[in-house]
Amino acid sequence: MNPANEIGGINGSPVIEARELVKTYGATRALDHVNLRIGAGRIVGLIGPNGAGKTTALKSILGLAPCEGELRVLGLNPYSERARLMQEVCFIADVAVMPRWLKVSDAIDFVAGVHPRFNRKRAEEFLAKTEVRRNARVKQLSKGMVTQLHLALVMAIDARLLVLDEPTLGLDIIYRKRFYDTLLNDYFVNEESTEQPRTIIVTTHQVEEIEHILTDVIFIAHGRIVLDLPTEKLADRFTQLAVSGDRLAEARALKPIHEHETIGRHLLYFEDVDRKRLAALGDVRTPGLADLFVAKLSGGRVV
Amino acid sequence: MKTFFWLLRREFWEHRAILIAPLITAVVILLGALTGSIIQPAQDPANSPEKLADVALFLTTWFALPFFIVNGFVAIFYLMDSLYGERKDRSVLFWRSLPVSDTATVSAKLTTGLVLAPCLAALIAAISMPLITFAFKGHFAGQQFSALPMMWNPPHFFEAAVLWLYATAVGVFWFLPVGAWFLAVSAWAPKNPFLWGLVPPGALYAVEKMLRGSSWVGEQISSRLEGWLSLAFNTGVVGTGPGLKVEGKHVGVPVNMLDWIDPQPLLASPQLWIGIAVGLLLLFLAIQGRRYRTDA
Repeated sequence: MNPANEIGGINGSPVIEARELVKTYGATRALDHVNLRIGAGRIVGLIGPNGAGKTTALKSILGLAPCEGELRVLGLNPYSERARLMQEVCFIADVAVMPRWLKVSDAIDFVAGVHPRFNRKRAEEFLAKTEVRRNARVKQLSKGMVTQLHLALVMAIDARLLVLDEPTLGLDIIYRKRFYDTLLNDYFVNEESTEQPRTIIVTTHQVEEIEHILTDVIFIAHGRIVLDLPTEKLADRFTQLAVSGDRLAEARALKPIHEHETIGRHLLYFEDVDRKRLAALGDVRTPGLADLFVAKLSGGRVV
Repeated sequence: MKTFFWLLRREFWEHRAILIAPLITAVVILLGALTGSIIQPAQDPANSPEKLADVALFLTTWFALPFFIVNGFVAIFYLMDSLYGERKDRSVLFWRSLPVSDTATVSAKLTTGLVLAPCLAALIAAISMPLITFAFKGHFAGQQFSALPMMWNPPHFFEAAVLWLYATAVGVFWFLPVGAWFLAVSAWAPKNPFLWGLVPPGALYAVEKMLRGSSWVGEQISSRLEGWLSLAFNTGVVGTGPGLKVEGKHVGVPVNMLDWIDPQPLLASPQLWIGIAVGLLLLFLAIQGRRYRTDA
């Protein structure tokens, strides 16, 4: 058990607690009886295919859209108490949300003017390390620079929950890597305010990119949560077995959840099967998140 | 309060037309006066000083009108675009990630369109009128009478400025339902708020005309546009002021424009209060739209 899991949010309650969340758009269920509990200090990856309900879930958490069911974020109802909640929650969506006409210096002034927990000095220090010019407008900046600007604003806010929705979409690989490094170093690890541990929820298509920083992983598909596990428990639950043709039948008898063939070998994925038993059949290891994601979501079909 | 100040500033960063449009209006009037195409030098000896004094009075009274008309268009475009535009470019996600309530944001936009924009128009009109007439006072010196330098009359400037300020204040309440309608449309329109804002009233008018041959809707619209002028002003009051001076002599009808200010009939008219009630309802709808509709 990770000790951070025990630490609660306000008055010991979790940062996010969702019970039976339902959200329908016409005939489709974007959220189908979702139950969630995220403790303080976690870095949670919310992973799912397009249209799985990730963004809907984040929108509900941020109070951007109403949904049915019971949802508390930092003890508040996000939809009806959004303005108050946003004092302690920061949000970065893909880079396109910064208004194009906004000047960099005005952006800092504005956030400083309306946000009681914004530290202007911090934002300035952060921006000084980038090539973002103060008198430039957002539309004159590259995508990577817009993200840096948004990140600078967000990093300077003493928030308890940071929500990132595809924050690196459309960025080149250098910016993407720098983004997560900064996130960990500046926001999560070197945080002076030890009063409350910070929590991050992140969604992305680039699973490999965030794999190493997550403490928890949540898979979502068709509006339902298919997996919700601390990353250190992944090894206990899941095993990837590389097996050659002669032991394949034996391995299949142990009911893999997914299987796919590579050059000359079969990769079988098992859930809750004793790893020692599998090791006798071939090479075992803990599957990466991307493989596990495919395994969980393809529902046992052979790809 | 501090938040509200920043919300207002942000509107001016985004919609610079609110400031630029009245400045352009002032420049156009100045150029018009310079070339004599708007305000005639009027050197026709047949023009009596009395007649020119009437023209001068007319100019002083209505000098702000072009500013208000321009402001009307600017405000309509501004209000219709304000909530729709941030949905369209998705910047609403940025704004709503800050601890600012939707009520404060929508109220700031209404305040900008309905209070600040016309105040700015009135202010720029009030500054540019004496500047323009002062510039022409010398220009026409030694010539026959001209209406323009005759406007050079500081007490009149003051009276006119107060009159416009009063008109602006009345306009805030009178046009509340109009402004709130455009904001509500901006908040809810799936696309093209300009069509959504203007077509339904026009369609209602046309349908009523076709089916019943009457034009109740049309009368409502036209009385909302100009009905307040006869309710809030009493221009029949004359003979109370010093009038205009030409070469030291009083000429024309002596009026004190401040006497035209008469809010009694307006305050007693149900139109004002029904309009305010409808406006508040539409404002509420606009706030709900800002909360509910995050996608364009």
